Amino acid sequence: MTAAPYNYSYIFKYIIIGDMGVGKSCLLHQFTEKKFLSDCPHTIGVEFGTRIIEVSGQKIKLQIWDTAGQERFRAVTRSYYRGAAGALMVYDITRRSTYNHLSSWLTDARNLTNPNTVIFLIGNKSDLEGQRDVPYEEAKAFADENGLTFLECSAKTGENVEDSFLETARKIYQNIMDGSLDLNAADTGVQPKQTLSRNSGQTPEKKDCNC
Amino acid sequence: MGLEEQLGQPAPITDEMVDRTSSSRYLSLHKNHDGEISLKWTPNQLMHASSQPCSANGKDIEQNWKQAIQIQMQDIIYIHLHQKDENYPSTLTFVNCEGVQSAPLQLPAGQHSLVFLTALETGLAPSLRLDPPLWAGHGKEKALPRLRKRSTASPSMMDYVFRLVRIAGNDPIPFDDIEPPSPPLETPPNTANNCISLPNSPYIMDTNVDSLINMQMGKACESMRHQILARAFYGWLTYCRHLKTIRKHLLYLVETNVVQGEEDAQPVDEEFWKKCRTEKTPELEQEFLSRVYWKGIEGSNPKELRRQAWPYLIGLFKWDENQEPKTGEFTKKYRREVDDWRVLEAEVRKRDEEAFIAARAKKFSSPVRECSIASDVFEEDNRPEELNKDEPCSSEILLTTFTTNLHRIDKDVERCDRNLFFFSNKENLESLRRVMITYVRRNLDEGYVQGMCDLLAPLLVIFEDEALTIECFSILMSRLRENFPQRTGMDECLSNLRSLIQVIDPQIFSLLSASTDCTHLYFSYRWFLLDFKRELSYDCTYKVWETIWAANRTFTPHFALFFALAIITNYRDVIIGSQMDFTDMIKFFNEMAERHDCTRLLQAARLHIKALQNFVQQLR
Repeated sequence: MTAAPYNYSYIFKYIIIGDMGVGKSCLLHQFTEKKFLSDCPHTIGVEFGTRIIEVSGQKIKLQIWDTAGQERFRAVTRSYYRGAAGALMVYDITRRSTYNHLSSWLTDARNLTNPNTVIFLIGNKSDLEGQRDVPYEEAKAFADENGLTFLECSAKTGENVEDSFLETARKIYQNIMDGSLDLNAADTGVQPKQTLSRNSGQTPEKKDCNC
Repeated sequence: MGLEEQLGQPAPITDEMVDRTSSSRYLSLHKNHDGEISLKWTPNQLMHASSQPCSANGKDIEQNWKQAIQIQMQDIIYIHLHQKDENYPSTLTFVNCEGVQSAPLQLPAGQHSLVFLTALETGLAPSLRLDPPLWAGHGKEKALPRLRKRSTASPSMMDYVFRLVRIAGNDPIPFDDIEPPSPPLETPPNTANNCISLPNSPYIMDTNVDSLINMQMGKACESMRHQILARAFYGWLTYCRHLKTIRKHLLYLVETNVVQGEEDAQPVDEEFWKKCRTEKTPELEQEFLSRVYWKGIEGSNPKELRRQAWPYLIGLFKWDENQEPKTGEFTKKYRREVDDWRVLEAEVRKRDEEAFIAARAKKFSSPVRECSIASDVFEEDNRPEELNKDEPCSSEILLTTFTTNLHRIDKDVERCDRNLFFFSNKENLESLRRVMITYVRRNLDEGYVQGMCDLLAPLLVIFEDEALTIECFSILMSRLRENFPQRTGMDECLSNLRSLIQVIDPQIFSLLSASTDCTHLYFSYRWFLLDFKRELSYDCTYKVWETIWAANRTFTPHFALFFALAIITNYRDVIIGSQMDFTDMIKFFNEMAERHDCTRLLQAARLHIKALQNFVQQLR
């Protein structure tokens, strides 16, 4: 937990959103544990994963929030959008309905995060080519139209999973470097190491009191 | 002004104290025009020097002043206070935004630390406040927040951590009660900081001009008057809020008139159950509930015993009636319902297949992309297109709604507790699916909501009878439905839990309040949605559920709240020790899932109920 020594320069907050059953938790699990959980139970409320990655020689801790997919829970999951630096928006390439709902997820993501939040589109279950219901080109065109980065992944085989998470981090890092993401602004979802602030809702990582 | 005079008798609102240790120092608080508070911790010699007319050696004094410790409270995030009791000296430490902490300030025995904090709290207002705030004691005096007694580790040492919190929407208001002194006067180096503390403060005494003294005295007295009024008001407000919390949220949570301290009760076993079913007296029913509440259901074959006892515990059967005639009716009804939705299911399968074939055909004939992405429809995604043209007929609407729900149920049943041996069997999984569909078909307006499978599964494992399961599940849902999305139950649970923590464990509460997000207590969302089913192993889920059901009919319909409180207080040392924030808590409790010691937690929950019962009784 937080008692671990700080060996990273930033914390980036991610959220994973998308319809129920598209494989959000499996993507998270594949990324953090490098394993596929075949019968991963559906997420209630939110769950949470972390992993430390490296971008341009900087260690970055990803704090990834995995949300419930069912529409009914949106009122709850919406409260976790705030302050996300990256949003992974997932659909299932074998179920068109999950793709059709992307505009709704995108609206939420745009409205509830800040303008610098990097939104990454993931078409999951690319291993199920035989059951494909959404052509790659179609989703690619949608992504281009909306300025999203897009990859098809498979949480089962692990294909492109790593890239999706890392590419998102690179973009965020780039935004910090070129100054378009102001670290002092509220709710950027990026937290430089060891910065305590009064109102961000963050408490110090470890408070040693030797008094 | 003689400093020694102040030694033993700090006035109730004095801002100054003197250390009795070898290197005596002078502690004072100052507020400048911008409303910024600074703390000075100055050696006594310096204080004596500064009270002399300063024309001659002004530069030396200025030099000395630079050496004195000065802390800008605006930079401070935490204040630590360590105090054994009032008979021992206390230590104050300040931690700033960078996590750097000041050298500890030793205050002499007595109420000095409290007096200091009281003055600080007043000075910080309105832009900053202490968190937790000081309590208004019985008289006009403030009191330190009450610490929960810990049985272990240095019981006599009291450690307080106060966080300085900016009050939302309140930009620092310049302190304009006191005008800046008229310009060209001989004043000590820090006249820029107007001292708000006391009229006999050295800085005010230092000014040589009588008129200025009078003016400043008058202003200072005026300011004091305001502060005394403000403090009295805030003290009264805090007191009222506290009473309100208890009255509003906690009074009705528990029954106080049925305190039955039957901790020596025996669990329900086969022998007792047999007696219950033969005699069926109301007294035995009370004993049954009481036994379940205190000790649960145990026996040589607990599963079989639960299968028999749960329907009575849940309230499906009345105590004096036999299962037999009713179970037959339930089964008949259930079979009819399954046959009924099987027809719908067949139609759904047919349409799904057609749609899939059509999609494939389209894909191979024309690669032109569809524009359906603009659709904002969410819940009714499977609505056939012709519905938009014609007036939808009721059977179409029914089929559409059923289709949506069926697809969702299929998604979730498939991944429900597959690691459990019972559900590794496809037959049982199919059984779960049938009950789920039948329930949702019965309550189509409510529809399938994620989480229902979790609540249904343990019942099916116990009963292994679909008709009995659906009846008991329906009763369970009639209570838990309130906690599902778009209803008010969850908010009530979270707010009640918050009030309970506030009263039972103020230390945890202050930690939770330190991070604003945490006060929503969302880490307990899943607890209340599923009656802890995801937090516990199946065996523990049975135990906790039957206690909740028994409590529901005896002490309190809110047992789940106290169990939640027990989970939090059980890990309080870990939570406080590592100063967990909102994300840490969610992560911690997600990781603790299925690892809790439920016997211990149940015991703690029952004790919390007793504690609140006593508390409420005293209040009455």
